[in-house]
Amino acid sequence: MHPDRLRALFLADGRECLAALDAALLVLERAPADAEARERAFRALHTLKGMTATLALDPLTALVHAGEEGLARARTRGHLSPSLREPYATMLRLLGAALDAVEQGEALDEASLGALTTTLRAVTAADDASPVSDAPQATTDIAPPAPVATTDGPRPRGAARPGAVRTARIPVERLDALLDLAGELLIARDRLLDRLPVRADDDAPAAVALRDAADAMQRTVDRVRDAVVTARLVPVSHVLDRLPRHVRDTASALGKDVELVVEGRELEVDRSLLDELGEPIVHLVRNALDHGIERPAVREALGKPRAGRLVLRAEREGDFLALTVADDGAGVDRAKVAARAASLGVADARALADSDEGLLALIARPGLSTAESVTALSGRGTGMDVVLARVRSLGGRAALATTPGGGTAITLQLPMSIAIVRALLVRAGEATFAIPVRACVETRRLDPWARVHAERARYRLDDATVPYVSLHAALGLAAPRDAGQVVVVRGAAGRTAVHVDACLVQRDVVVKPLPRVRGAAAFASGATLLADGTPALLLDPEHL
Amino acid sequence: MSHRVLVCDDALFMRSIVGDILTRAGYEVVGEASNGAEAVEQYKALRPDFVTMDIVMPDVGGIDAVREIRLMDPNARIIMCSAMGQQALVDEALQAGASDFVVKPFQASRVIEAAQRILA
Repeated sequence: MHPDRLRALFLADGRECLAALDAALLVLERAPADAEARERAFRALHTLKGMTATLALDPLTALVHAGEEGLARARTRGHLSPSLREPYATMLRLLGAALDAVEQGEALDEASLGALTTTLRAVTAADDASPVSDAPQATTDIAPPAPVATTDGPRPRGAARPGAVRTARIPVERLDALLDLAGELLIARDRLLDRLPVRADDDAPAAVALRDAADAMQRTVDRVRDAVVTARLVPVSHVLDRLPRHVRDTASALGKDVELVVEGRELEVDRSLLDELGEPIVHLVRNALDHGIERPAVREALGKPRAGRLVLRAEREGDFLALTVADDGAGVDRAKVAARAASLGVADARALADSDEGLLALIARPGLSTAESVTALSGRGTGMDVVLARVRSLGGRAALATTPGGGTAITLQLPMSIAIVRALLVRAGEATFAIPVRACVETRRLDPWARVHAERARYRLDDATVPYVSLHAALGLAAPRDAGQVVVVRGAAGRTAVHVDACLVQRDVVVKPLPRVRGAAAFASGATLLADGTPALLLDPEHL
Repeated sequence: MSHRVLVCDDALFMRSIVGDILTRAGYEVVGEASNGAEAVEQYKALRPDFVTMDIVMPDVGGIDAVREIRLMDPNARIIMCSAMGQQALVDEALQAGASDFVVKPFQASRVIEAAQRILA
């Protein structure tokens, strides 16, 4: 077998083992006598050992073997010794780092691995010498994680289904390649159909046959697209299952009691979306723990339960994924945010802070942090702006709801599939742009008299005056004074009138992410290839 | 005609390694299973000439699978795959009806020898 393939298999299976191990160890921390969790941890280590031995990764094999021994002793004693908790946490971390090193082709950190192996052996041996009677103690308030889903997984490991569907693990690059091909197929189909040399009302047998064949191809290509999009779906548990440990560690570092509730972890979304969501969610969770949930003593004084409650919820809303991070903490102090924003020179800060949207916009301003003291965990008020920028670049939006003393919920709403988007193609000058259809409200002929120039250009619709932009400006051209069409686009901040030369057609486009270059085409969230092979920018309705 | 083999291991990595070794040696891998229950099902459906079986697998482990397969087919030929330090489990598997065993990390020659032995 090719070494690269071997390594890829090792990394995929190895990470699966680590996820299973992590979940099992979390359960064991709460219930050190849980035999089932212990066996799951044991199997994970065992599987890992088989692989590291095969690849002659000796320092890893030695460490994993020592870890196995500790669990084997736990089997005899009936529970996992609390003194093994720290070494196991370190082991997880080092093994994760080792897999990353293998992936990058870097050397293993043999010194750390060796030191930990020695520690694990020593702790296991010392425990053996001590009396068996030290009672197991529950140690954290964090709910045990739900059963771990197999990463990239074939079937849920928990449920052996006789005659189960055969499944395969497919490297992401191949899925991406397939998506690209499906995209090219869509483009080729459109080119072909655009040039079909038959009129719709031509009922000569040859023309009918050609149209039927074209219809059949149209439908089949749509199904190929749907199948490819479906194949890319992975459950959000890939991101959410990493959080229990993170929450526990962060909460304990902050001296807080937290009960974590995860809902909707089985919901499936495009994996490219999931890859982008890890960081924003971790950030929101961290904020909730640091700024939202109060210390146990404070909560008690307020008549709240000592342990705060943190809810992570994934839900489907139409074509959108809604991810909510909600806490039952203090809520955002509007007055304080307003004062801070005002001191930074934000006009209307007080009025903005009165509405939830305005408050979120203020919080997301770089440099605005209401933390009493800056903590190492939440950083220096950067972050919320990065989260919102990331969400916008994914074609999503964020919403905030907060009650004084009642808590804060932040919901990220994101398109389920960011890979293939239905778009309205429009032309401005020589260039073609794509606007996501879900953001289009209407198109109308440009009414030169509706253009209103106040401080900034605006456009009068029937019921309101909205911001006006012309795509010609993006090309450095002047917009025609009295020709063209206006596409009304709705973003989180409201509607915008977009002036174009012409609306062309609606198409499914395959979106390629744009490299995140500062200042580069802020109004575009991606690029796509058109039927004739020329590239077009996909407009970001949140960023016009 | 080449001999047909069923490969059972909970790690795709290990299944690939074993499958690769056997395929190169001219055997045909007709099925794979990732736990004992699947191994039994697949054995029933495929009736392979022999099986390679990991000992430690989730849900139904390798030893239980050996027992069930032998109940179904007293002539079933099964090679156990074990990690180092599992002698007691290997003994148990042999008593349950396994024919031979190889120890991880696998050496191709050892795996092939074992296959030739049990097919002889």
